Amino acid sequence: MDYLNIDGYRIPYPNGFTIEKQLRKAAAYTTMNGTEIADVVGWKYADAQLKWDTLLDADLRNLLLATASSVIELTFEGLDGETVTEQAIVESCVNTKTRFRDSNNRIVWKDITVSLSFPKSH
Amino acid sequence: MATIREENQKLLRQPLKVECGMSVKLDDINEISIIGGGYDNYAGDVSEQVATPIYMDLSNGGFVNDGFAVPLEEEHPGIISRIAPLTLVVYMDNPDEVPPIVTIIGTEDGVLKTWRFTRQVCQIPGYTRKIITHIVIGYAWQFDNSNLISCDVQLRGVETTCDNPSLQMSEIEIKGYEPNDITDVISQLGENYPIWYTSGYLGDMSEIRRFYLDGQISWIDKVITIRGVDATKFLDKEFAGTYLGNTSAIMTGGLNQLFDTYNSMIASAGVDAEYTNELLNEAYFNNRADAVYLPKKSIRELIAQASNLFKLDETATDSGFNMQFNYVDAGRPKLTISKRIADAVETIDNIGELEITSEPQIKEIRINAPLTFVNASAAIKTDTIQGTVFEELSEPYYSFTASAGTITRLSPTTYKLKSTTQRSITVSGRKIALYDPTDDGSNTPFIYQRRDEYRELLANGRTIELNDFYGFEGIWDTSETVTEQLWAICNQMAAVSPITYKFKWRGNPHLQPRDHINVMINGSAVKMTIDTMTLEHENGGLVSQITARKGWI
Repeated sequence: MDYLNIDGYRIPYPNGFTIEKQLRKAAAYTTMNGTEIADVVGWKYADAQLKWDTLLDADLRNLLLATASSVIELTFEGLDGETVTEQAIVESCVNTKTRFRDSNNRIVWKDITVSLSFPKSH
Repeated sequence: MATIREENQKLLRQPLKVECGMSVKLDDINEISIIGGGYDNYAGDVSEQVATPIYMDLSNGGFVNDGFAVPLEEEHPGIISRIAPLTLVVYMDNPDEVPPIVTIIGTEDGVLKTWRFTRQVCQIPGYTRKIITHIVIGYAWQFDNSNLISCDVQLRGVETTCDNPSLQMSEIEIKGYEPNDITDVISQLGENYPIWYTSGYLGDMSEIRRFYLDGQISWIDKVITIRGVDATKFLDKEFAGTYLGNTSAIMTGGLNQLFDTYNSMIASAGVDAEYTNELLNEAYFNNRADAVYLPKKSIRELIAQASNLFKLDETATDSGFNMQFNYVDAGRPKLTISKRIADAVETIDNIGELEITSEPQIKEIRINAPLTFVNASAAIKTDTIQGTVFEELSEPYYSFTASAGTITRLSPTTYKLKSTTQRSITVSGRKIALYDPTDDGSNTPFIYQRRDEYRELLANGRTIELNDFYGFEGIWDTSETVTEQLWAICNQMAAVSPITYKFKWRGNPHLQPRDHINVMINGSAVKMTIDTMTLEHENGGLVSQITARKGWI
């Protein structure tokens, strides 16, 4: 995918972003020989951090607008390459430290990150 | 279809389905008619959507299934509508009366739903398929995995200890999501409303366990908390005390009578228990001139005592002591008097947090009067014996003076001796002599002479005292004297292991207290009998804490 979709805003796809699955376990305990036993209640997408090396100013502003509400709807590339749309919670602010002008005199931001978590249990 | 035993073999198992709830019947349903939507017999894929059983409990004013939520076919319980709105009309005895509240529980397109109406005509709209399983004039709550927050069940029964065990109550606590403000409702409610619980996988759900509301329901932050106890609560009722004796060789024997008496005791307390009376060798137990004395106590204490008396002897043959008086409630009261079937035993693996406790072995068992005993001789002719001295012949004989006790004649050959001072009779070798000093010596006194069987169980250990012990005679064989029978019981008690285990396990809701299990510890299977068991459902998972005694008792 080239673009991420957050609440309707198109943002360039974060660098090297791959989503991971996590099992939701309940009633877990450890047996006498160290084995972990549990009931698997479902799975969810693991907490993720979206990272960009660089983003144009216009894209960053879109990202800020998109993540203004704490609960967003994110469309991303799933594990098998399919397109997934899922609700996510914005856990952190959009972080960035460096701003510079590129060779075409456009404002570019560096090292942008934002943390998300996925509440839905499958 | 997954089964609990299969899933328990896996490290990560599927979450269990939990279904539980409570009915609060405020008024008797008089008549309900169903209009529109129709109701049909369905076959095919409807059973895949839902398998909600009818939760019917007739004891203590439980919800009576009057035929309005009738199972149309066994696998399709409830009123099933076509894909259409459904109307139910409730008719009260007084036609001018409006039902205070009607609660209808069922599923709509497979999702659990509750509808509440405060009018006679209850219209459930929507072109959806509805299956109604429960109608109450009053309130009802039903929880499943979609709206249950946690469910904590503590199952207990007669304790496995030999030291005067008690019959413990089992408890349940349900926390569910209830978005409506029910503070007014809670204030109107009384006690003992039926609560049910079942869990497992579709196709392998546990038998429904029934509890009764005990204490106030609470509703905080849209969470309703319901607490209940099992029917053991109602067994605190007192039993008058009786002597079950018969001298007729034709009538059924004392053991049968005893069992039947227990069954009617439990029924008289309002508990709807299931009972089976499959004696392994009927010919052996019928036609015996047996007698049992049941003291005046609460039914709960009597049951606990009887369970202590009759323990399983795995090695015994049909004619031996392999009878087991077994009453277990834990939500499904059942009275049995037959040997357990070893094949059904579950092997439990993957336990955690194991604690092993041991108490000292039993060295001696002391039994408190009253005792009844058969007088084999005709020496004692009078009905009551006053002023007779029962001498201490020589160590280790005990004696009673008439002022320190009373003797009552129960039948031509049976007397009851009751000591008014709590004199204890130690079975491990003591004897009682009973004779009439006015006797000219032509009649032989009756003496228990079992000295050769005397043996101290162990040099060290603890002493058990059984108070208000049953008086009985000839339960198994009239040719045996009482000491032999008491000794046999004491042998069984002494053989019960002093080792108890406590561990954590993922749980199986089919199990209950007194069940026999095999537990893998360090690679070998250890036989155990469950004493208490919890079923803790939370966050979608189930964990169980079990305490058990070593051995199958």
